[in-house]
Amino acid sequence: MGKKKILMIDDEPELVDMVKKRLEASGYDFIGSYDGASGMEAAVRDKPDLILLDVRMPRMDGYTFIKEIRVNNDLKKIPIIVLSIVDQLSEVFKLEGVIDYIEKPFDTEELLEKIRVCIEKE
Amino acid sequence: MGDNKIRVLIVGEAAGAEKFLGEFKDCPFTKVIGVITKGPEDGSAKRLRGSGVSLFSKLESVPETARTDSVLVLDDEDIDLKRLSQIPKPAIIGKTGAGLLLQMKRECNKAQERLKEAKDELEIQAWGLKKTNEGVKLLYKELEEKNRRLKELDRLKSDFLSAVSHELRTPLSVTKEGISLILDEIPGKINDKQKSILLTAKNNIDRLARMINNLLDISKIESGKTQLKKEVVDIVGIARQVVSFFEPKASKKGVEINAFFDKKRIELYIDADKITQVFTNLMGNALKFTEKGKIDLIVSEGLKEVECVVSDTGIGISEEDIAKIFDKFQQVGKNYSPGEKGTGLGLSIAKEIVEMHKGSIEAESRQNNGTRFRFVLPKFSWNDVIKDYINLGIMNSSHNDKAFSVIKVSAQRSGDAGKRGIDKKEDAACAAEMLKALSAKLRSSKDKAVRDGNEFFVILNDCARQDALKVIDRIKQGLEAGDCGVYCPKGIEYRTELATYPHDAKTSGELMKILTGGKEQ
Repeated sequence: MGKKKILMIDDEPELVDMVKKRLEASGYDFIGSYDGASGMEAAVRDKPDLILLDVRMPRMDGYTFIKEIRVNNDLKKIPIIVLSIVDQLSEVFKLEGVIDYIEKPFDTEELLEKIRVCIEKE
Repeated sequence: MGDNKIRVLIVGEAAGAEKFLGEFKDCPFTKVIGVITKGPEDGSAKRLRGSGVSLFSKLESVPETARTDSVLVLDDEDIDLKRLSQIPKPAIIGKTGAGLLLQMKRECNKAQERLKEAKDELEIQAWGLKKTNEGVKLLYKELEEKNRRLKELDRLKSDFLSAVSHELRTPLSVTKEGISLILDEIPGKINDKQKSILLTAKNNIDRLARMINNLLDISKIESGKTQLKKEVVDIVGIARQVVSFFEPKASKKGVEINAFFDKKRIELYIDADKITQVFTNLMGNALKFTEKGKIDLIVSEGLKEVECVVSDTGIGISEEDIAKIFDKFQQVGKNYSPGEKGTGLGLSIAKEIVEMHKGSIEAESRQNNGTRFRFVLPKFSWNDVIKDYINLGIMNSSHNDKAFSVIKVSAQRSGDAGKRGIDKKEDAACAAEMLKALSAKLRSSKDKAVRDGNEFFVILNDCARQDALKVIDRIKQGLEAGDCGVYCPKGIEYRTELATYPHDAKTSGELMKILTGGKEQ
């Protein structure tokens, strides 16, 4: 079994960079995208095992991203963890296919735990 | 006024007639239509005599069109009153009458003068009013301008709050993650002193993040900006989500979370986000102050309300402190808890939210013996929800100048089926199927189908009458074709009523009245 691939889509490059360092240190392959649209391209190209998704982003927001990925037969089964702010809690809960939710600023261990649970489930 | 004047014919000697003629010239209520004189030996008398026409025959010959209302006779003694009275129509007034008439005329003139004075004064006042009005208009303009600026400021404040909410959290995330990376020695080893300093920094970043969230919440609630987005949702589902959110944290701490739910589903008409927040705040609090033992979350349905309890086996709160536990910036646990620091706002936010839902919240505790928070939320009637939806629809439609329609669908057993009696179980299943069938006929997520007993309401936002009629057709066709499925017995009659804003009525009460056929709701 090879390394699991995680795609993070967030419009904050520095945050993506931090998470990249963390996840690579934890033994994952990491791909970062800074907006929904290029995130979608990356998803199509790299077929990640898990997506970490921000909600408010330029070009394509998180909601649209989820709606689009759920109609793509190749990608619709990829688990998604939403990284966002507490205001949108129940909105996020309502979205189908969102495996979990983590609030910004997040707890690293919590994030790693959620990723682990998600990937093991698959 | 000219035509309403009393028409007077003056009869008498020339000099007197002349005098009265002068007096009545500018009288506002009499009009002298002629003078008949009888002497002395002057021109006019000669004219009378010369023509051989007597005073009376002259009077008698006054044509109908020149009819007088009164004949003013100046010389009482000389007039044969008896003969005069035979002349049809005119009433006769003698010298006394004439005097009265004169008096009246003078009074009238005086009144007119006073009227004119009053009019002048009024004109002055009107001018003053006009000036005041101009001043008021100016003030109003100024106020409008100020109002506009206030709104602008308010918008700026909102933007600012939103910026704080979203933008501050991202740099916080980056900072926190950076510190975490170093703490976990991913870029390289650090010593214990460095570690301890970074740990303090990290804890405070967490605190800052919580503070931002809470400050935002409370400022939104206090400015009255927080409007509940109420929907009929399952509160047990909300509680479950919150429990699963807290479970990993609790198990890490060695604290057990037990959830007890009265029923699998308990529907309430609430703002799901906000109630999630109440549970989150209470659970977060419980976990924070509980080092060992358990946290219980109970949701149970009462007669009129639903009770939610979050209790823990933690350090508890002293009697003195519990009184102020819902006050802002009260951190009663501050003295005893060395760990995670709060913001002092979580419980006041919870209280505000519960009270916005017309519920209540209370806390009870014994020091070192755990704390128990209990809040109740009122149950709802579908009728209230429908009214709320209609009110909301009207509000949005009047705002956007659009129409808004509501359809009522009722089902009734007819013929033989009606005599068979009502099977409650069957009815409930049928009603559920019907609601499903109606929901399938909605145009978009903006529309809603709601059930109130055996009646169903379809709320169509931004929908004019003719479009609503199309929806009705679709509904009827579907139901008659058997959309309801196997649960609904044959022989059911469907009736629909339609009410459209603003076509049929402008208030929710009136719309309801149309839908329910005039019955008071």
